[in-house]
Amino acid sequence: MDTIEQTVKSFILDSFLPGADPNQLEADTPLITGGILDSLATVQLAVFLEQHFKVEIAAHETGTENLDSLALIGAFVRSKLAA
Amino acid sequence: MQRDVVILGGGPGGATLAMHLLAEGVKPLIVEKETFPRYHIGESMTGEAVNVLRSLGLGPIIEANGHPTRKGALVLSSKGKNSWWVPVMLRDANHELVEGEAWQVRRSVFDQTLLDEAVRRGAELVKARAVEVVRGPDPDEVRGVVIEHPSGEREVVHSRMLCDVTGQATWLAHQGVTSPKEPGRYDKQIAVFSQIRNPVRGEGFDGVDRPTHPDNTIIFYAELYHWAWFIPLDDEIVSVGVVVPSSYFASKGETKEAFLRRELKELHPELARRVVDTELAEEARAIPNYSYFIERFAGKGWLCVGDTHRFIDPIFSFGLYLTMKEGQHAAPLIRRYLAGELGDGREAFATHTRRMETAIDHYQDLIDGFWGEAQGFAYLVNNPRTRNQVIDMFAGRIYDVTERDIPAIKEMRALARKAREGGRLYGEDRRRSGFVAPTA
Ligand SMILES: Cc1cc2nc3c(=O)[nH]c(=O)nc-3n(C[C@H](O)[C@H](O)[C@H](O)COP(=O)(O)OP(=O)(O)OC[C@H]3O[C@@H](n4cnc5c(N)ncnc54)[C@H](O)[C@@H]3O)c2cc1C
Repeated sequence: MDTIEQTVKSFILDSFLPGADPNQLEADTPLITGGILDSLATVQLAVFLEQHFKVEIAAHETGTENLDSLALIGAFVRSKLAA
Repeated sequence: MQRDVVILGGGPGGATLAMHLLAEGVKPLIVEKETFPRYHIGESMTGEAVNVLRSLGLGPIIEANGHPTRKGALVLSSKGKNSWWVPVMLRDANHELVEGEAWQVRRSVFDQTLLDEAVRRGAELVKARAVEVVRGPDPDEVRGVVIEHPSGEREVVHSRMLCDVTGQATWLAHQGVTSPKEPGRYDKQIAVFSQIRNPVRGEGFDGVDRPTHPDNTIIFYAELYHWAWFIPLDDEIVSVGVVVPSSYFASKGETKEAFLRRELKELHPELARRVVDTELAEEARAIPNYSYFIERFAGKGWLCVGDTHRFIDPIFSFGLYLTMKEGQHAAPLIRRYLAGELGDGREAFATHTRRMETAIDHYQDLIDGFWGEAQGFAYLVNNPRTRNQVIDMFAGRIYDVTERDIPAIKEMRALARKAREGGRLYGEDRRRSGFVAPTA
């Protein structure tokens, strides 16, 4: 995993899955559709991404198309950083 | 009779328009068909609505009515997870957000206070029903109105400016003066409402850290388009209403009262917990198809103000504010028009109506985004970057603001577009689907 994915993974594990086995959270594990992130957690994740990576994430970008897995999140944040 | 300005409708929109005009030195005639006090729905208001009333010097007399005040609105989803709190916040002299309060008004009392005060300040009031418009030689021109007195006697009132503030009655539209009245996005909804006694008020909720003020507005939502309001009106009585798709209401085959009493117990567990006694303290009433818009709502000698040209949806209590704010914007224009400074007025009033539309468009975006993209909406409300901007919009700071003033407006618009394209919302709303030509 890239460092972005690693950072996000740690955030999700610490915030929403305390005590869980880190190996269970893989790059393509579904986060929102898989029930790991509820609506409020998804909000917290998106705010974290904004603040940590200093990117701006618009409200319409906070859906499953960008945030449903570590791989998607990594690609999304990289595209923001490149823009 | 001949009067410079005739206002049709003596509700909060008509009465405050009259007071704004009086402040401009213009003395209007108000035509109101009902004897006040009369029942009306629409009891919660925004922070900026309070400011409009205070700017008219109405603070003390409204306070004397003893209306409760809310500190905010709590919006609770059925699953509890997508719940949030919108405080009433005002901007102080340094443009800092400070906590505020907004009145929760029993409309029979509130509307009478405003109308009485308009009369006390010099407005003329006639109890009569507007029945027919008097047109000018130019088909777009209005020169007055035929009114019918309670005796059945009819009278022609000539006017230089006829203001339609008849609310959902949309009187000038029915007279064929405006462009046609068209269904809005939430046209397929019905609201069923009444009042209840002594429900549980004001405590916090599991997992949601909220102020516990007893007089806050609470919005409960369940499925898409299925929601309820809870608006305290005094120490005992709380206004409650349930809004659902009309097809759902019809499918139940119940009376309004039975429908409302059952929904109060079934719509949302937190609502059910609060409603101890479903006995209604008022007749159960219903308003279907309340959502519409009228594209062209001003012309030579006439202007529509408030609900009478557009109503989206009552979920966030914007109605009173919009009608009163539009009157505030219109009054100085009307004075200048009467003074001959604006020619035949068409240009000036067309500009005015576009300003009003742009402001309401922000609310259309907000409501569409809320229903169609709950996730993105929750993010806008909770993100520290946008939270205060959203609070500003909820409070009513939507006139003459651009994305530069409130960047969240742009984000709200993009979210609403996604909602409209995503197929979750009711289908067409011509006004917000991009092919309505701007009124010129
Ligand atoms: C279900 C529902 C819930 C709502 N909840 C809220 C809320 O919580 N907060 C909020 O701010 N808004 C709410 N609204 C909206 C609110 O009711 C209106 O925005 C507000 O009443 C508009 O004020 P107005 O003075 O423009 O019109 P109205 O208050 O409707 O007044 C119009 C007046 O015109 C008179 N009239 C009509 N036809 C004629 C005629 N031919 N001749 C003479 N007089 C006539 C009527 O008798 C009436 O007194 C709600 C609306 C609905 C449908």
